[in-house]
Amino acid sequence: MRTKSRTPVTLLFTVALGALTGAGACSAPPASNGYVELSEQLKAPFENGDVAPAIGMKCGTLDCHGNIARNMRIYSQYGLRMALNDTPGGMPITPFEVDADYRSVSGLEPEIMDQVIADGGANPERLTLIRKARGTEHHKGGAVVQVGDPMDTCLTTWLTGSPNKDACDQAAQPPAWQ
Amino acid sequence: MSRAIGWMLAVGVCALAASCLSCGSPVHDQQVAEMGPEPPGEHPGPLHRAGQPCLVCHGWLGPSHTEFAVAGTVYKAINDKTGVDGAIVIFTTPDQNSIAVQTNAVGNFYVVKDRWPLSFPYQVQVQYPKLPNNMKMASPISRDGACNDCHADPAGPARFGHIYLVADVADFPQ
Repeated sequence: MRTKSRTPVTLLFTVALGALTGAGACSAPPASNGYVELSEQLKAPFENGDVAPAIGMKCGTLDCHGNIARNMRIYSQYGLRMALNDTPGGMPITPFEVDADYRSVSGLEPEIMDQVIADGGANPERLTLIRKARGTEHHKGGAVVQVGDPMDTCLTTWLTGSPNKDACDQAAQPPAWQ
Repeated sequence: MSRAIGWMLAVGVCALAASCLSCGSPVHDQQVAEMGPEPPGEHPGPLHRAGQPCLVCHGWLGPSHTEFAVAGTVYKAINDKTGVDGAIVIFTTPDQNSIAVQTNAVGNFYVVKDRWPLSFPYQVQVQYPKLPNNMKMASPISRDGACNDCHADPAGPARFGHIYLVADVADFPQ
C-alpha cells in the first residue's frame, strides 16, 4: 500500500520541481529590466544640435559612417540624408536625423556609456567610440581626432553632460586644410 | 593500390587549390558585372568609362592590373556632363601634404596606388585656370578614393551627383 502511494508523491515532486525550474528560466531579467536608460543630460545636447553636426562632419562622410552598409550609421548635412528628396550638402541636419544619430552613437555600448556619465565623464576611453576616434583601437578610418582637439573635446565634454559648444561648433566646420 | 592513392591525393590537392583560387568576393564580382561591357567605341585606357566608379575594377580586387589610389571625373556643370580637360584636382592632408593631378580630355583623373604619397583623411579642391575660384569639397575624404562612388548620378540621399565646376553651364568660361 505504501509502495503505491509513493509513486504519485514522487511524480508530484518531480512536476513541481520542473515547474519551478521552468518558472525560474522564464523569470524577468535582472534589476536593469534588460535595458539601460541613459541620462537625459546626454540626449539633450544632441537634440539641441550641439553635438550631431560635429559627429557628422568627422565621422559621417559618405565613404565612412555615412554609408548605409556600415555600422554606427550617421546622418549629416554633408553626408547621408534620411529624406529621399534630400541630398548631401542640402538642407541642414533635421531633428529626425539628429535622433537617429543619437541612437546610433548611444546604442553602441549603453551600459559603459551609462557608467562614464555616472562618473562625470571620467576615463571616456572606456568607450569604443572614443578609442576608435582616437585611433588607440584599430579603426579603418584611423585616428580622426587627437586628444584635446575640438572634436575630442566635443565628445568628451558631451559625456560629462555639458558639451563644449565652441569646440563642437569648430569641429562641425568643414576642414580648412587648404 | 599505392598508385591509386597517389592519384587521389593529387586530384584532391588540385581541387583544393582550385577552390582557393576561386575564393573571390561575390559582391565585388557582381559590381564588376554590373559595370557591363565597354561603351561602344571605347577601349580600356585613360579615356574610358568616364563617370563610372573607377575603383570597382581598379581596386585591389581587380580585375584590372592597374590599381588606383584615387580616381574620378570632372564635368563642366550640374546641367552639362561634358568632361573638363585640364582641371587640376588637388588633394591635401591635415598636415598640409598635397598632390595635384590633371584631368584628361574626357575629364578623367587618376593616380596609381604605387605613386600615391598621402594617407587618409584628405580634402579636395578642383582648380580650373579660367575660373577665379576653386571648387572645394565641403567634407573630407576618409577612406575611399573612388570619387565617382559618391559623385554618381542621380543625386540622392547617399549621392552628391557628378563633380562639376560651375552650377550652370552658362557660367562656364569659353
